Amino acid sequence: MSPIDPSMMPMLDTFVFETTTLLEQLDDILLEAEKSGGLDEESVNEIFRVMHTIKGSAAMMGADNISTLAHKVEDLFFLIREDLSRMEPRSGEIFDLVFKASDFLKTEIENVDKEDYDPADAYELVDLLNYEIDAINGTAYMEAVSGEGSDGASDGTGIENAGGENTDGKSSDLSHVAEGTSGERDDSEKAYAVRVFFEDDIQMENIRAFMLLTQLRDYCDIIGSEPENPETDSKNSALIIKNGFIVHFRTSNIRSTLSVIENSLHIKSYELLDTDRAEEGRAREADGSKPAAEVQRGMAGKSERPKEQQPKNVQPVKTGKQSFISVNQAKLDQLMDLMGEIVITEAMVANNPDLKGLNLDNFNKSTRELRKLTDELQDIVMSIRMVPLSGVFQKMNRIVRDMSKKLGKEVEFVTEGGDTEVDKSINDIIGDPLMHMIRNAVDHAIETPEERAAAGKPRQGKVILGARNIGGEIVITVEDDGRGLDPAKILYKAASKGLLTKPESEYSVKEIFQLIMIPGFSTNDEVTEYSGRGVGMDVVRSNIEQLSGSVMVESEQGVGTRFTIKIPLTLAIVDGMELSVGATIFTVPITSIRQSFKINEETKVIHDTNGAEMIMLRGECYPIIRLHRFFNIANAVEDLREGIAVLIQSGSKSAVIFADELLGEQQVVVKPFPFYLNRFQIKSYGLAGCTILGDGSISLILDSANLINRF
Amino acid sequence: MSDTAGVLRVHKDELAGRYLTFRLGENTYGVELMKVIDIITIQAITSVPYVPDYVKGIINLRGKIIPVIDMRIKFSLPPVGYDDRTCIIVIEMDRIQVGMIVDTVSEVLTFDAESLTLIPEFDRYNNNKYLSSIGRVGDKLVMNLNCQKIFVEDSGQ
Repeated sequence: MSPIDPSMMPMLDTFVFETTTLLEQLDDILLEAEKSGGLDEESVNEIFRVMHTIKGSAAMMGADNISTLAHKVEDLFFLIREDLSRMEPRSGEIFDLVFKASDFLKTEIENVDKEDYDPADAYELVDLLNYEIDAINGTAYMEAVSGEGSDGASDGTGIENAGGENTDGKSSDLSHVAEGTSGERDDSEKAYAVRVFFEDDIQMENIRAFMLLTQLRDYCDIIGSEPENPETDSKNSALIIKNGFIVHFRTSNIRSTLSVIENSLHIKSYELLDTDRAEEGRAREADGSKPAAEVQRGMAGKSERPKEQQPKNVQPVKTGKQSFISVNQAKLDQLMDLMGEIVITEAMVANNPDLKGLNLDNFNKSTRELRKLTDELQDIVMSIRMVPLSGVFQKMNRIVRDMSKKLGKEVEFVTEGGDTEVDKSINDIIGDPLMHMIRNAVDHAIETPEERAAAGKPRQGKVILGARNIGGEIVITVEDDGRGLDPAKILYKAASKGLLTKPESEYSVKEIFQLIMIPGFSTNDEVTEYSGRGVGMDVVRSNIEQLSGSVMVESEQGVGTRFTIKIPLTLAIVDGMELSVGATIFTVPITSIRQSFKINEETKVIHDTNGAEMIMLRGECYPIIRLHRFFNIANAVEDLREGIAVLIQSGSKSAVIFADELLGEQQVVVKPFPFYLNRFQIKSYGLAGCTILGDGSISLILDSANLINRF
Repeated sequence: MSDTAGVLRVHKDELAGRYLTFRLGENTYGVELMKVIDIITIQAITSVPYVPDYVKGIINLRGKIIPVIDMRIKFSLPPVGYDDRTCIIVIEMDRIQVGMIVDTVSEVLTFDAESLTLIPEFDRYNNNKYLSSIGRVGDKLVMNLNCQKIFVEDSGQ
């Protein structure tokens, strides 16, 4: 049974998204801080803010375990924030603890939207956190818990940070507030009113307003809000956008209350309304003079009010956030599909058979213009879907850190080119294979410090993860300076598992290294926590091939290993070469074509003992795949000299395909085969999908990797 | 008797439904109108390798790629050439869209409970696994197809 408050279900996606983003931020800060040897004030504040927000929204959602843990971490950093030196003696433990807490939260967030979500218990971590809190300062802990609000005020974080861009109105207002708090700190609470504006186009303003109220409730007494009960009516969103969301509350400590508002997500600006007046209005209402209150509420409905009041009171405080919007990925996929349709339709119009032989200067000019614009549009659509790899790289950072600690190895992890952008679909898939390769590198390749010292290498090993964008391809390298691959050992292992397809002596070193990616191969006999769980490099390879990419291995014993992954930048639209075979048209992605040529009397065609045809090109021998035979197509060219031969390559394998005719080059949109056909597994026969050509006919897209493997 | 009544209740929607009827040779078949999304005349079909012979290939239906199935071959009837009366009925269920190649489309009929005989459950899995019911109009019989069985559950083996 999900603990999530059913009324909050519509917010769940937003909650998961925001919390995940915050946790990623947290990891960033922690790793950065650990590297530089300690937390500075800014990062402590940031951690505090992250935990505070998570606590608030988790409590909103009803995820008590998450909010409890976040609350504890917040408490801990509350103490640290007051005096950074408090952390020093136990900084190692605290870092580990916060990492653990972050992991716990991540796991929970990942599962929170599942049907059968069962909240895990955070007590163990909470106890550890309590221990640290006590360790820092037993008495300070008690103080902090009992007087969280007033302590928060003494450092005045929120207001001071924002103070820079204040106008006179604002600062006088604040000084008034400060006087108020210092003067009447303990004996009486004062009433305030704050008007909050949410970021533009943020959606669900009414729910956000309600969340804000809930957050504030911990810090002050809420008297009321305008609109009242914002969550009950979605029409309130429009009111909030127009007039802002006004909260009336009583507090003895305005600063801590304001900092809650400031630290909340998606707040564009807030202003403290004229407190006397607000109080007056409220007081009158409290007296039961309904009409006055009605007047005030009535005024809130008019749009003049904010305009009128803003200059008089305070300038909105900008919280300085960049303007980004998050978009549902399904919409982007749709946009991409639509873009594909436009590319096809454009080709249909421009190459329309009805226009053949006509002299159409103006038409051609216009279609060229159209082509230019669709190209541009396509670039933009692609760029929207692009995300930097840095998020994935960041996760690897974390893995290396944890593993090297556990395995007692010293590893320096370097990432290069994290800002390289890839299509979102690539970004989603690439994480797993990269993680596997990094784990392999740290677990198997990098030696222990002692072994390294004995081999005359620096004690600290090095793993480099790099990404570059080279001409329409993303090249990702995973490099280590560990022990390297042992060809003899690999060959022996492969032979003992019966994975070899030819005599051992015929394998080149390059081919031997490729063996580690064959299913069922794993060089390490021991199963460790991190690698060797039955999945190996073959999973890496199949993941990469799913992205139409390839993996290459280079290695030198004792020096290191480098894996090079090449992935086409985007998957949906490819430049293809059209080939005809009988009545069927095939599209071969340009990236897998090495050359095309005519076979003539001088070309050496060899028939081996099984009757299979081979061709000699520049001293190398390639098998000939006659497409019409392989795909059983009637009425195709039989004579090799009459057709066309195309040399294709996939990874380290090459073959020559034989077709009737070369029709030309065209940009095509890859469409998957209809769902009904999946049961026949035609993909495994070397067909990646299909595409619609300019004249509306369908072409089959060849997948050179599967084609060569299957042949 | 009471059992039959239960089945009839379950299939109430189906009974109330209308059927598009088409011909294959001498026989008339029906398909729930609810499932039909388009009827087109026969057009160029791109054949796809490594599929059973009843899957004639794929067509481009306004930018959507739809597999087409020759119902004569699927039902083991002697195949005939396609002519200008040959139609493709495009139906949709679950995530699957398929085109059925039929000799010709006849008409839309509404069957009430009395003119419809359900194929008994035991028989549906043996002799008549592709039929869901038989409809009667006058002296004519219409065999209503169980599309779920034919296109979704059939593994293609």
